[in-house]
Amino acid sequence: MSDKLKIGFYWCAACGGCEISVLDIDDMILDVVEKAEIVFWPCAMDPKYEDVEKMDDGEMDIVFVNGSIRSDENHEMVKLLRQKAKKVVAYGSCSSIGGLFGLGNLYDNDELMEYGYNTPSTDKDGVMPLDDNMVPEGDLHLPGLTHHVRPLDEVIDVDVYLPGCPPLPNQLEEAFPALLSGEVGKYDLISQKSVCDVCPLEREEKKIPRLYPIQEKKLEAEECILDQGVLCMGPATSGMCDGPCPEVGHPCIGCNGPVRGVKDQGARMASALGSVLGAEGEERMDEDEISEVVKSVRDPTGSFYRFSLPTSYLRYKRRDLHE
Amino acid sequence: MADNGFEPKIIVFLCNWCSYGGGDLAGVNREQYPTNVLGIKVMCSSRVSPEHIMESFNDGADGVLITGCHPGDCHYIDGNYKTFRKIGLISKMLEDLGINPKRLRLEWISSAEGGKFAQVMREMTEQIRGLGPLDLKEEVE
Repeated sequence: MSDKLKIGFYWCAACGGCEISVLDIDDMILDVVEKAEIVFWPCAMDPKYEDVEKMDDGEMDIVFVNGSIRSDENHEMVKLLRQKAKKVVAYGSCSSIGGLFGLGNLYDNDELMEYGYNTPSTDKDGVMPLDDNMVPEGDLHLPGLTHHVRPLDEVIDVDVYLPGCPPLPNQLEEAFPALLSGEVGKYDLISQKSVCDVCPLEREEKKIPRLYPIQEKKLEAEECILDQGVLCMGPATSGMCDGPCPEVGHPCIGCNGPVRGVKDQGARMASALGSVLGAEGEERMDEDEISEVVKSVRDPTGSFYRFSLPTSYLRYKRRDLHE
Repeated sequence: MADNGFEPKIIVFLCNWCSYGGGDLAGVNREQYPTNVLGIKVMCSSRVSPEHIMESFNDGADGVLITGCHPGDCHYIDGNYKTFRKIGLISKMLEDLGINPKRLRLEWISSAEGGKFAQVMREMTEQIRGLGPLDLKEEVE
């Protein structure tokens, strides 16, 4: 028992999909528990935070953290886990690149709270949650929101990145043995190939005269989705998933984040799209006509940065326009 | 000098075949323009990736100016059309992220337009001076 590795799992701002994906590896989980003992996993066990505080520094060998940093509690807890763990793995896209919740960075906290609690919904309008509540049983405290959504490496040092929403079984079958044997570099689990590189669909070299919302276009199987005029994030997305979405006719939404070595996925996508968009005979068009194709790209910020806004260069909404 | 002492820092990407020549001509003609512009020569305006623009802003530029050949004159046939579309997308993204899209400008300057080169540099500097500094380095918490 004592020669087994001690591993832990923790979730921050996450949907829970990453926790479940751990079990997607089917019977390989037996190989994992043969080598490792899970000592901390709030989703599946019932540990208390005091239990972690009581551990010695570096007592856990590997801690897998999923979810982005959204509240003071996340912030405090990952700092504690960093102290108690020899190796921290950013598991899933939220902790590696910011994730879907990162789109909250397009608004400030007041706007988000206003939208969440003061627009028509099933809740009672205008009732806002308080940080502190005095009740007969004592003082209840809710963790506050951080200024913006952060990836894990903005708060603590990360040893290995494993993006994916969630990481797929084929990624985990490679990742778990490598992690447990300790032979894996920081960025080794991020592919250098894009989704387009691994995509089975046929791409023709041609200009795309405009983009359509996916519901307005009947897609042909076997043909490149971007070629058919529907936004696909394949060119700017890391392809360790082996492209399951385009294979079944759904455009890539960019969940793995940028390929290894690239920082800004959205800017890369703007670059790729700027090169493939365009109509025939644009030499004879004026600038307004050429702009039409750019206008057909709906919500570029939200689409290109769907999973990676917190790790882009600009990270969150600035106040340059208000002043 | 501006009243508050703010001197904008502007990154200018110059295409090798047209705009850099325009800049050369501005120099030969002794055209005067502010020293706030920092020129970077690239082979084509479409070599400027949106990442370079984002990184410039992130690293302290108050404005970014991309210059290239006039439509139809690109040395690489259609590079400047690609640039035009990229800038369209990036302007929208900057606006969504709360940065004034006027800080990013695209201009076509040929190698015969030394006067226009100096004029654009003067205009851009004044425009950014009016917008004030873009301080993205503020650290929160």
